[in-house]
Amino acid sequence: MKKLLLNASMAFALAASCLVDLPASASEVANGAKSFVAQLSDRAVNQIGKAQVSEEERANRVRALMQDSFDIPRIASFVTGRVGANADAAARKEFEQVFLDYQVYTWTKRFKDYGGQTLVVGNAMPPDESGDVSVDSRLVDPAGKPPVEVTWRVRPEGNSYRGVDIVVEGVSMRITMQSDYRSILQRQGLPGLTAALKERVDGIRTGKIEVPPLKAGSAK
Amino acid sequence: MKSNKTKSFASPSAVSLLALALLAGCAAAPEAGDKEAQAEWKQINDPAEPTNRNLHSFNQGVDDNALKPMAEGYREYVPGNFRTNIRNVLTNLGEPVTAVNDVLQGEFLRAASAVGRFCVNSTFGFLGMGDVAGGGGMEHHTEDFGQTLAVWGVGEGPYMVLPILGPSNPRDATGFVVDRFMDPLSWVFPSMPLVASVSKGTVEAVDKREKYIDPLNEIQRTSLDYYASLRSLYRQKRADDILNGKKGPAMPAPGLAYESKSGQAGN
Repeated sequence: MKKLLLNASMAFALAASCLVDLPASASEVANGAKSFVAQLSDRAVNQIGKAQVSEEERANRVRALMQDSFDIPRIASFVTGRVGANADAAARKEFEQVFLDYQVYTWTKRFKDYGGQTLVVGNAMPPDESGDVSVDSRLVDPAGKPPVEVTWRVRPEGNSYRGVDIVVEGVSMRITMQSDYRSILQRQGLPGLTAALKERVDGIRTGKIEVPPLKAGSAK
Repeated sequence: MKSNKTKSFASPSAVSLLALALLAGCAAAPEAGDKEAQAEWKQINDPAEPTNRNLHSFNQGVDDNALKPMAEGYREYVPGNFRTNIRNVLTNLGEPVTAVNDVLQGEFLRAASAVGRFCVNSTFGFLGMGDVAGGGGMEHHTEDFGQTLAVWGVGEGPYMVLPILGPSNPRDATGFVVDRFMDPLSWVFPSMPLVASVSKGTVEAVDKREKYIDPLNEIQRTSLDYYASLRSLYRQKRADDILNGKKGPAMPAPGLAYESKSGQAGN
């Protein structure tokens, strides 16, 4: 009787493990995405925000972080829409380079006077139909300004993850950029956008176009 | 780019500029055969774009020459504490409208919070100058009739730029007018002199503009098409406000994805 009970419970455990296998993997993906965002923010705070390094070195570190943690080609193809999709490979590659530069120098300036803000990672949603996972977080200001809600859209890739969008207080960066670029894409094509963005990159790098440092509560 | 350059604003021509703006008419819809262009047209949802862009330039002129300098002067010459008091008073005066809209949306707990805040701050907060209720954990939120209409299932309609008031759509513009009439304060003080209501409106505008000096400066400096960026930001922000910051399946996805075709190509 005892043996039978043992067998039955083992069979039950086996069945149960099969049953919960699917949702467990979805939640594994969500948990993995959460720790990806936490690691990304730790790296940004410790290696970039708090580090006392030259502006050039800070830019190098931002570039490395961008390349490791964000899917730049995917974001670039999203923001350039169908004009980008119909452009030739060389023009796309050139845009990606300039687009990456734009992100690098914008974020290098934003991290310049880092004010000690920390990112508190919240919940993660299971993957949506495109396979992306949304991770909620709050950017908390040490001075007590109201926190800023930030949602990270990350794409699982094998065992790792890459960011595809940052949504700040309901405003998606890639959707806003897609809108911003549409008109020049229609008039001047992808090379026209690349040239215009390059001008912006130079302006930001030389300080002609001012990008204020990261501030919690600034957008409210 | 073009919209950034049309900043010259001579006051005598303001009226004629506005008239010209309204005459510009509508953008041409794409041909029926081009499915992608049709989808894009629907998503942008701005059939009166030429008129809207002209109105945007007109508003920019007003902003550059009047509103923004006033807001900057306000920031420079009025002490921060005093500005906070003024913002608190204006916020407090807005609580009744928020409460009414909360009720209309079936959000009774949020309505109670708005009423509670109004009572506490109007008394213990010295006519709303201090946010005593906020300190006690009753967080501030706003609701307007545009959001109420959205909760009731009314669509936003095409994008439109209103003279002086800026980005809007038929639903939110209707909401703006209804909110003015449903303000319980206008029932309590029905004979509020015009001067008082105009000055309240002016102070509100300057306070709001001061709040957005930095983010708007940054968007204007870094964007390639300020008009399109504002249109996108307005829509996304309203969608987020309607859902009260919650994410759900009802959240619209205003972006178009072309990832499958070129996503790998760049790698």
